[in-house]
Amino acid sequence: MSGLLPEAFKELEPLVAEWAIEDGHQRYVKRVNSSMAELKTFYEKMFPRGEEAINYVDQFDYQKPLPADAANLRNLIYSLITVALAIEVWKQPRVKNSAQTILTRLA
Amino acid sequence: MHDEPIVQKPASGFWTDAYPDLGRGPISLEDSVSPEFYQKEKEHVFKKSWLYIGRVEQLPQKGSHFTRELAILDTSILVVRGKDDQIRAFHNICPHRGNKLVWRDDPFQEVEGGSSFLYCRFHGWRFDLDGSLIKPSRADLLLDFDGSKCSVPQIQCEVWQGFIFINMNPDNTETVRDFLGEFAEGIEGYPFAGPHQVYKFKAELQCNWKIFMDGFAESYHGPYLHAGSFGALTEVAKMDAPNPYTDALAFDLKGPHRMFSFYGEPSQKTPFSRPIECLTESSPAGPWNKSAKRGPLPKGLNPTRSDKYGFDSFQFFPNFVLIFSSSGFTTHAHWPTGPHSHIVEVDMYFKPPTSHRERISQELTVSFLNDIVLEDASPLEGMQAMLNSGAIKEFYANDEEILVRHLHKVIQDKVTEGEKSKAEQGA
Repeated sequence: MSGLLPEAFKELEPLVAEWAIEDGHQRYVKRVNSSMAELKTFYEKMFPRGEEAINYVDQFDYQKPLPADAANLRNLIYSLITVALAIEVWKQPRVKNSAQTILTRLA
Repeated sequence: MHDEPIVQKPASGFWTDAYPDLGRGPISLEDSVSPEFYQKEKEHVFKKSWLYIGRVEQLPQKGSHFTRELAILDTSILVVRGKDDQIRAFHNICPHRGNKLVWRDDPFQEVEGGSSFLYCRFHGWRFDLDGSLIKPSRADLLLDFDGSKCSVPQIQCEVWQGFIFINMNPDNTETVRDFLGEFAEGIEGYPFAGPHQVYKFKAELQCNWKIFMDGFAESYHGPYLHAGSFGALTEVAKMDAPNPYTDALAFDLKGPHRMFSFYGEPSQKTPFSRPIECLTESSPAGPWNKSAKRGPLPKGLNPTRSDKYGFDSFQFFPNFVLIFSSSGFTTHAHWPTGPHSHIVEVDMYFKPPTSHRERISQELTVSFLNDIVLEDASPLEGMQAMLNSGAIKEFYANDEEILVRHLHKVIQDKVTEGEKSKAEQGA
């Protein structure tokens, strides 16, 4: 596996297949169908590189499509946000007391 | 510019005192439980009122259309931008034999699309974007046929500030602007036209639509229901005393519509900010602002002219909620699908990001709000089940729950009125 992420983020490449999810709804579905241990593993690998990753992606012009490797990195940042709410706020994959209900994200 | 407050709390200290007709006692729950009430509500509220069904941006060019599958109206609605740029609404039906006109694959799924005319797949009849018949197929076989009487049935449709409304009552004579009244006047001038970055969410919940509207009509539940997400405010806000963080700045009622204005510091780092908020420089209230000031606001926003103002929430009768925050505006539409179920649609219209960093900050706000809406929804299905038990017949509302009281009163009054005039006509 190479070229999935920019060179400086190479060690995060194993996360790409599972967590580089652009679609907001699919990202949320992935969160609620993951165990807390799986979410924690992703969070602990991704969070420490979060600031550098945002800085890397932010150097590109927002009006143009991102190169594929930077887009993967951006999608990992999106997943970090989705997952961090489970880790930092709810302490479980789903919102507390929400049973099986989720919102469908359409856009 | 608009320095004088336009809403002030009565000297007594209770908002309820400004509205003597509203009552103070317990409120009947029948309107959220009874299947018979639901049928009357459908007839006298939903089929007689202006209803928000979408924004003009969903119809970007001549010929653009979208459909709405709205169980409460017992029909499918087709909304079309005409060649004259006028937006029209129709029953989504071919007047030849009644085939459903615009859909793909599944007749009960909503669609968006565009074409220069309306085409019925059953027998190939064609209609203009204003609903009039262009051409039946096999015209040589039609006997005693008057094409001018064979149009796609139209529904009243008007646009206010880019919001598209329909009214199912063919006898309605009130414009949507007159219906929305003073609140609408107060928020005209807001940059509704955008451009926007739009985020959309939808869910079907097993509870009456009003029960969820109620959840967005007061902030008093904040330190309790949202203890997990807004825990920091909990302790101070639970005291039996006025609280600047959770008591509304203002409540205002105008006819069947209502609003409240709410406290909020500019979105910024606090001692309670979570690691992901610090990383993305954002919170549920919006990306952290470098400059705290918003642009000039229309006169109806921040009605108390408070420097601690955070957001305003307008509930337009019957089911349309419009919320203004520093991120932009958000709409909630609550569509009943039965007496004990409804679909809620949450659409956020934010300022378009100019950089990837801004987009990521918005993603935090949007993702956090998604979870908070679920937290707001979390008590409701259990609550509905218990309301259905019949164990209690009434509920209570305090002075901070004045909008809850008002919603149920105007719905119940409208149904009573409708039944009365029906009985008089029948007599």
